[in-house]
Order: sequence, then C-alpha cells, then structure tokens
Amino acid sequence: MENPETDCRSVLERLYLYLDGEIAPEDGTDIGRHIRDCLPCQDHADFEQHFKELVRRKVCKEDVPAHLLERVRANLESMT
Amino acid sequence: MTGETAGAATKERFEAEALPYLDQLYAAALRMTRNPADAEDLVQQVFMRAYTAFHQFESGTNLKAWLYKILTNTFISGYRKKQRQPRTVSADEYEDFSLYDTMVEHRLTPEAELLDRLPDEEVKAALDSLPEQFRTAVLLADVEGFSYQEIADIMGVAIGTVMSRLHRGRKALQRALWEYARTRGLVEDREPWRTPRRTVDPS
Repeated sequence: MENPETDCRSVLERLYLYLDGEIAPEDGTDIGRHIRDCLPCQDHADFEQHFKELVRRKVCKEDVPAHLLERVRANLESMT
Repeated sequence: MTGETAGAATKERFEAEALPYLDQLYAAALRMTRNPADAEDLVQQVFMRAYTAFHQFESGTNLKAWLYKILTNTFISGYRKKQRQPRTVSADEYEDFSLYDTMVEHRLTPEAELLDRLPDEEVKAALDSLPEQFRTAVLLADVEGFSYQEIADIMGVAIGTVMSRLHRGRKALQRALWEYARTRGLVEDREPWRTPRRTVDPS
C-alpha cells in the first residue's frame, strides 16, 4: 500500500484527465477506486465534475433560427 | 453526365451527413461571435466551405470534428479580427488556482450547490473574459465533449498545448467565479487559514 497522502496527490494531479475521459483504462480503474474509497477525494472530484457540467449547462441554451437550414440548403443549391 | 451524377450523389451525402450538425454548429458559432447575425453568416460560410472541400473529407473519420475545424478556422480568419483584440495576460492572472482548495482555505465547505447559485450571465461573462484560445479549448472539451486529440486537430496545435490551455482556462474561470461569489456575498467572507494550501502541479 502506498502512502495515502501520495496516493491522493497523484489522483488529484490526474483528476481532470480522469474526468475528461483521457486516462488509460487501468489507471482509470485505480483512480475510480481511490475516489470511491476516499471521502476527501470524492468530494473534490464531485465538485470538479459539477464545475465541468456547469459550463455546459450555462452556455447551451440557444435556439437555431428557423430559416437557417433553408438558407444553407439554398446556398448549396446555388453552388451545384 | 457522370460528373453531374457524382455531384448529385455527393450533395445528397453531404446534406444527409453534414446538415444534421447545423444546430450544434450554430450554437458554437453564436458562442464564438456572440451575435446571432454573425453566427448565421458564419454557419453559412462553414457549410459552403465544407461542401467545397467535402471530397477531402475521409469517409469514416470524425465529421463533427472536421466541421468544427472549418468553423474554428473560418472564425479565426474572418470574424475574430474585427471583434476581439488579443488580450494581454499578466503573469499572475493565470497562476495556479483551485476554487475547491481556495474555499477550503477560507474555511468554507466547497459544495457543488454554490456553483448552481451562480447566475448564467455571470458564468458566460467569466467565460467570455478568457483569452480566446483558452475559451475555445474549454468550450470544445466541456460543451462539445471532444477528446484532447480532436481538440488538438481542430485547433491545429499539439495535444500538450490543448492540455495546458484547458488547465489554464479552467483555473481562470474558477478564479473569476470565486471573485464574483465573494463580492456578491454568495460565500461568507472569512479570513483564510494561515497554513499554506496544498497545491497540485499540473505537469
């Protein structure tokens, strides 16, 4: 068993890689297990995951103008 | 005759495969230009460019990423010039910052619920205050859900650059939101602990 402090540190260093799905599967499993078993790291991971989702939720509310599809189609038509 | 038939088939394939991305591309264009008229214009240009270059697109590869690359390039070469002057970034502005650690340091419980109380407009404004390259990286990762490799292809940079832009962009965003939360009284104003906080080196 590694020193728990080192373990937390190494997990937090790679937390965003993990949350972004950019970590190799075996490392991902280790990090996932650590996060499940370590309350402080779990808190931290939840917070950062929430932050990631915040960006998506807050900027994703735009309606496409109804006529845009027709305009794009008309443009393509004029090119052929 | 043959050319015409091939052309019609290409057009049909382009419409069937590329047009379904219209909504997503418009939303992304609007985030880039911040102006519905410019966003429409940009999207129309993107589809015309994409159609012209469609023969270069390798079937079976990632069409969405390919379209976003055209979007990003068209935006950078056209709109950004007239809109946004590159911001100068002071060195300390992007020093390591973690909202979670900062709250702990100020003896506050870093609850995800605090993030929900932030008004949409403030989050957008904080995002808009980021230098373009950081902002684009964060949007491509957190809103569009692209992988680091896809973002690297779209932005035409190395994967390490993507990671650095994402890291710095997120830190800057968290710092801006922390300043907002503190000045608006969304968090209690407490003196920080005197002990140095634990910092995590991204590299």
